[in-house]
Amino acid sequence: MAGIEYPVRLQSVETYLVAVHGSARELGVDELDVLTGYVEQIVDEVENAWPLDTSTSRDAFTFLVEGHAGRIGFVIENDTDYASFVHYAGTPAEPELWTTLIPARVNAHAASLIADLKLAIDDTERVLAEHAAARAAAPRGTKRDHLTANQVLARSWRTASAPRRTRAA
Amino acid sequence: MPISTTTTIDFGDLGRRLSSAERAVLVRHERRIMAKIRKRWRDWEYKNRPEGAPINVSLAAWKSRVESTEGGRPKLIIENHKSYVTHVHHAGVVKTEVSLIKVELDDVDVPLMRRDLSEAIAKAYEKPVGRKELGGRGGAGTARAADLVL
Repeated sequence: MAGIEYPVRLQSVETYLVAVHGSARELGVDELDVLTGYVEQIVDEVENAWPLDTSTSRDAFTFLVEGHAGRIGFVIENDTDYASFVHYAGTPAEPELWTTLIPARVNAHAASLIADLKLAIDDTERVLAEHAAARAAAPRGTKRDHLTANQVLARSWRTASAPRRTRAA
Repeated sequence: MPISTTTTIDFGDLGRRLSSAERAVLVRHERRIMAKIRKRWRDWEYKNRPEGAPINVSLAAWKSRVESTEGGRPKLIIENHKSYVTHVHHAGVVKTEVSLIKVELDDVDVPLMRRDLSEAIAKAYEKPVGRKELGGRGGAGTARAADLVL
């Protein structure tokens, strides 16, 4: 018996990020927020569709998001030792439910997740470019008063008056 | 040190798992609390950290789960396994960010969660959920799928 880990790699987003940024970079907090929001939704849907007896294995779903240069994605985990064997009553144990349910929920959101993440990347790139230009133009000795790229990526640039953009429905 | 904080809400001998409606209340608060933690866990200075080095690492490492089964004591478990997480603080602030978050959880968020869950349990009192025997939950290996590449 075994717990489960389901890794999802957003390679198309990694490729897009390299194209617009010029190289791989870490995700900023606004981009991580977009990714986290989608993964929460996906995990909620997996939990809601998960067969229920004691609720122990349903409760055990967690996730980690990954926003590293060269690896963007997330991992859905469940450490209940029988999670890989959970199936609906009256259905065969093969294929294992988690290997079909999780990708089905991921794929249901994949297009909008990727599109929204690309929009968030565009927004971050704009802010990065503005700050890089301001830093470059700053007189000698005052550059430290301007944000570095790391500091830009560690902040949220969304405001109440300018919420995260989403694609038209 | 990594951090794992468990908030247990003691409703005495509830003696059953939470119903779906009750559990939804717990999950709603879990999401709200995690959003709050992630919102606070940013704006770091990253002094002397070279461009391109990993950042927002501990932000991405926050994770949570609820327990709605054992012994009628619903739990919210919040974890961050990054080794330095309990030492992190904002520039100019003496107290660590974890300690500030914990105070806010204890003073504001947990009482709210307790209130809402109590109300949900009271509402569902007429529709009890059957008692279930619990088995173990861990100790074996982990099956890891191949990357789903999108």
